[in-house]
Amino acid sequence: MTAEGLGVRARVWMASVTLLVIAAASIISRLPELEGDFGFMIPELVYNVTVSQTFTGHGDAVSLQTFLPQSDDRQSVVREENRSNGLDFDPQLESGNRLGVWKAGALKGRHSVAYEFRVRTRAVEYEISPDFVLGEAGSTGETDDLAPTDVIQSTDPEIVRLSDELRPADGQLVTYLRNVFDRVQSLQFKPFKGTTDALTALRLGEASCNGRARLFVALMRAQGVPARLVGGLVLKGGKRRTSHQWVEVRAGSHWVPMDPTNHHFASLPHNYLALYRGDETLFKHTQDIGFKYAFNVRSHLVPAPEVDKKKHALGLWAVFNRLGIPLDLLRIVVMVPLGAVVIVIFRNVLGFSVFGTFLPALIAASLRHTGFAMGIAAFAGVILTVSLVRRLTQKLQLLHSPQLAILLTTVIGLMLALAAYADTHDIPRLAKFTLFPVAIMSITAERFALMEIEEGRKKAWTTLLRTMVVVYFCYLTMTSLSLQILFLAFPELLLVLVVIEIWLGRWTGLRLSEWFRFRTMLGRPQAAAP
Amino acid sequence: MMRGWRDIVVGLLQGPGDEVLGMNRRNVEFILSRNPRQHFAIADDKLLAKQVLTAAGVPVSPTLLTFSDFFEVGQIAERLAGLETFAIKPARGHGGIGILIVAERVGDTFTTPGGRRLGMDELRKHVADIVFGVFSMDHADVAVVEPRLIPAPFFADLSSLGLSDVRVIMCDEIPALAMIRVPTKASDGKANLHQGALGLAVRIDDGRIMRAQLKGLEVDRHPDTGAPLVGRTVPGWDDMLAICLKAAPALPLKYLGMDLVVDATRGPLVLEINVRPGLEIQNVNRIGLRGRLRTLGVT
Repeated sequence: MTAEGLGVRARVWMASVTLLVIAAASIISRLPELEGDFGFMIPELVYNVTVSQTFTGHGDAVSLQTFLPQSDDRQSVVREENRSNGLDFDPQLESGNRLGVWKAGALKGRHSVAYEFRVRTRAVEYEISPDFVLGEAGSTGETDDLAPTDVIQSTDPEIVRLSDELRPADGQLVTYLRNVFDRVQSLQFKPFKGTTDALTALRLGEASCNGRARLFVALMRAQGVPARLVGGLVLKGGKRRTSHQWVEVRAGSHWVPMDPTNHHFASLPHNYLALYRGDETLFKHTQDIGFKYAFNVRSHLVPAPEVDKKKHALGLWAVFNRLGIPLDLLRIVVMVPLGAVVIVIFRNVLGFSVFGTFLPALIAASLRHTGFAMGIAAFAGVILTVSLVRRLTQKLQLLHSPQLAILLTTVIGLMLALAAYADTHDIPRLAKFTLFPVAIMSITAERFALMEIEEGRKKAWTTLLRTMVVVYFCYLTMTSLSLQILFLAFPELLLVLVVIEIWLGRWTGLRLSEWFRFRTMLGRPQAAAP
Repeated sequence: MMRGWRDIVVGLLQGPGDEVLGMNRRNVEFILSRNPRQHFAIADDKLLAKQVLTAAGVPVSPTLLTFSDFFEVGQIAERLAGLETFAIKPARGHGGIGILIVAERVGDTFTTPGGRRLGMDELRKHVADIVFGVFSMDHADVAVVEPRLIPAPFFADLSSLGLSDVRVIMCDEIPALAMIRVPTKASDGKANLHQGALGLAVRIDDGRIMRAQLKGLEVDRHPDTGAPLVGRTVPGWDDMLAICLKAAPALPLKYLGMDLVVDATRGPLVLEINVRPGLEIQNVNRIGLRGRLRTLGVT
């Protein structure tokens, strides 16, 4: 190293230490304001659920009804919107459930109603005290939660015999619950859409969620334990038609959830939404109207309610929140620098040649709307198609900027075509492809085409493939929820990224690809030029 | 491929690659610290380079004409009047892209050494492309017209397809490694190793050709002509070295790839200087630049 080089080295150290100290000082100075409570850091996952019902009227009166969600200690309904499209909407309370009823006098043609709500849910887990013991066997009571029904045959001898077998000698509720849970879980799963009663489920040894739930409830009631069915949804992104049923069992003053279908014992994950209690049917409607329903679920991250209280302490997050910039956008924007670090590592440490300097990070950011597979396929498809157009325009011998403008137009055209295709084939994620950076894609297509012409097809395709690999790693890093939360809460971490870049920027080792390129000279004593 | 990985494993076992200069170290320790950014223009702009070199008494290819705007491009027919053979280059292009050589002219029909015929319109389009910055990633450039160089006999023997050039890596004004790049059929007449040009390792001390390499593989004969290569000595090597040694102090850039050609009548000329010279010269020579520079006392 020359003297000047040493100077650079000292400067590098100084810059790094300064940046780290600033970052640390800023984080530490804010800690007291946070009062040791980091709950704000975990943004809440909320679900947007749209229940849509469609039907065809034939000129007669039409009535539809379904259950609407209610807030309780594990779910809170934040926002509700009813789109009746001309039908009368009449929400009612019926034995503790909220019922939505839509009615119309005489309707013809295809109609739809939609009920959209946003719900915040949380996971729960109960510990059942060993103090709870079962009552006398067969002491079925009068209340709804203990009484036998046509489909919950809790007094049937077969059910009673099984319940006696499963009843532990010490009469502990928790042991009995476990025994019943295991027994019901052992039933074969059958994706059956109709209703299965408890006895049939037991006799067949197989059932879907509702058969299991009824058998579970029957076995509880047979031993005098109040139990009821719960109907609702397991919230997963996308459009679905499946609802779900599970069970609640009374233990002391609590209703404890049990899902023998999805193996949740005295617990529920956050993505369960209860719509009604009791043995009910989720949808009821006038016959012969070609009734169809669907649940459309989208999950969102929203700042935890604590963020509002700690605005002053939360820098970026609070600022953007005030400006009304959605957290969804902010959290990916703040990840772009991290994506850039990933790219630098691929370029300078591994020696990966890719298209565009930060193209992979920007593509990865766009992929959050479409999902990786769909988005990357559309990206590659557009690049390849546009590069074909580039090869065609080669024959016209155009000047550079107009040439690029044509490619840009082609990209836009393809995007519109993809959006139209996505719409007719109901692939909403593909439609989000229109959010990709068009200019960057045009330039990439141009580079791809030129590389194919100048450096050969093989080189162009490998570079495209490598670009996609780097996009994948950027995507993995940038969409990591925990990293996003960390960077949102502590944007000072961006300074740490700068320090990493400084060191990568001064790193002089051989790139992995160079170990291969210069393999014949590595570690070999040199034949010095004589 | 198997062989390649075995070499790497052996290399790793025998010690780190402290002989070879990698891209990162070249950029950090040689380019960034020896080539101040404000002087990059000299290397990036052929016209500026020629001006600086001429002032230092270093021979360069003369500039016959320049086209720097669309007005001048429009006058191409009049301006090229009387020129029979010439080369049109982008002043800011590198890697040989955008260079058009006219070997023969009949009226308004121009023929390249490869036999491609162009009309005045196509020539105008090419010059317009240069001026528009197509070959220089920039939105303005100058098209430079120079005489078509005729290689001296030794170089003409190496290849009839195009101009072979001599690349010398100069570090702190000391010549470190040298090679000749010979166009082949595969490289389409271009002196670019990645496009299939032949690389000949030239020993700095005496101009002897020590090795020949084609697309990463060692060869000892020209792939097109079968002419023997290794063991010959480049005539006038001392003159070329002298030119490099004269040019280096005149340039504020201290880590350079100097590209020379030897014209049949004009003798050796500096064609181009490169502030980011490629690393493949190490493979051609089978000598790592890092070790070589250390031996030469440059660190």
